[in-house]
Amino acid sequence: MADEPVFLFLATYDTAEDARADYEAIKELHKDHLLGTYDVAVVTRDAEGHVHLSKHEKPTQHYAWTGVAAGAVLGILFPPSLLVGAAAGGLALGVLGHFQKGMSRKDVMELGELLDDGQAALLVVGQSGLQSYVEKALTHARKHAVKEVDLEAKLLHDDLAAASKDLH
Amino acid sequence: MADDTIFVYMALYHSQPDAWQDYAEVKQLHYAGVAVSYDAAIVTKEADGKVHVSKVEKTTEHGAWTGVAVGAVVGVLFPPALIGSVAAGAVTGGLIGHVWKGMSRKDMHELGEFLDQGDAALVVIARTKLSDALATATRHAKKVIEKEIAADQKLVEDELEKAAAGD
Repeated sequence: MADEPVFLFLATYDTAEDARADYEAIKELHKDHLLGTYDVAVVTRDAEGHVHLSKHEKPTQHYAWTGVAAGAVLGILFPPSLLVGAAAGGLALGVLGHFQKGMSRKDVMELGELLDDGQAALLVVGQSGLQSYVEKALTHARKHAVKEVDLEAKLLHDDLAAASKDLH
Repeated sequence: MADDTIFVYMALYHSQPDAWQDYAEVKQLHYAGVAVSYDAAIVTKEADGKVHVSKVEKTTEHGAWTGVAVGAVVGVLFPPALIGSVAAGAVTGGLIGHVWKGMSRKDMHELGEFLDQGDAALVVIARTKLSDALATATRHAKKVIEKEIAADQKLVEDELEKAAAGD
């Protein structure tokens, strides 16, 4: 088990508007310091099957909310040719490798199937203790799943900090 | 046989020499017309988890046996960070999209776990079911698996020819 567990929280929605409403709820939790989140992003699929990642924040801390961690998770769930724009941003970075090593193929399958099932999704990458706060905050979700990623949080911190520098 | 299905056959080995021996057997069957395949290649994994697709043939006809189709399947089963070397165009070309759309998440899970169990595998892609035709040819394998991919054969063949033309 890693030093400080990292969680992935994935919720699916009937519409992108519902996903964005819950995105705002998570943002409030983050602002109130109730929730230690590395990344939060809305994920949508277009008619051609391309995957888009929307984030609305500029990085506010050393590494948070850049879209890099969420993009890395998408890079495991979908082939590169289906990722466009910011969704492709996490592919070339070491962050993807950490998530890949920390997730079982069964988890990848289950998260992928959940994403395939909805029109829009909210992907949250956060610290231990995330689950109960997020479940209360997300009131518009149709389905959700939580997975623990077995990775060293220190490595994730360092790689996200480096990626954030590149983004500035 | 429907022309909207292609087949992926994988055989897992204790060692790379075992895999290469069976590769040669499959090649004989291919050229004898017994088990005609789009592609065949050896997939190996290094200690750091990097995945490589190796083949020894030059492109001979219609983009066959270029490593591109096997590379596309590997590109679906492993993230880019883990792919050490594949044929040019395998991961970036249109074929990977056809393969990905044609496989269920469950099949991806099963094929990925199959490859995770060993460091050397023979992967063959064909327009017809292979398990019977290759049963003897892959006698060094410790286990085999076969899955169907829902993909238009004409589109797959077009993508393979495009990739071969780009070589």
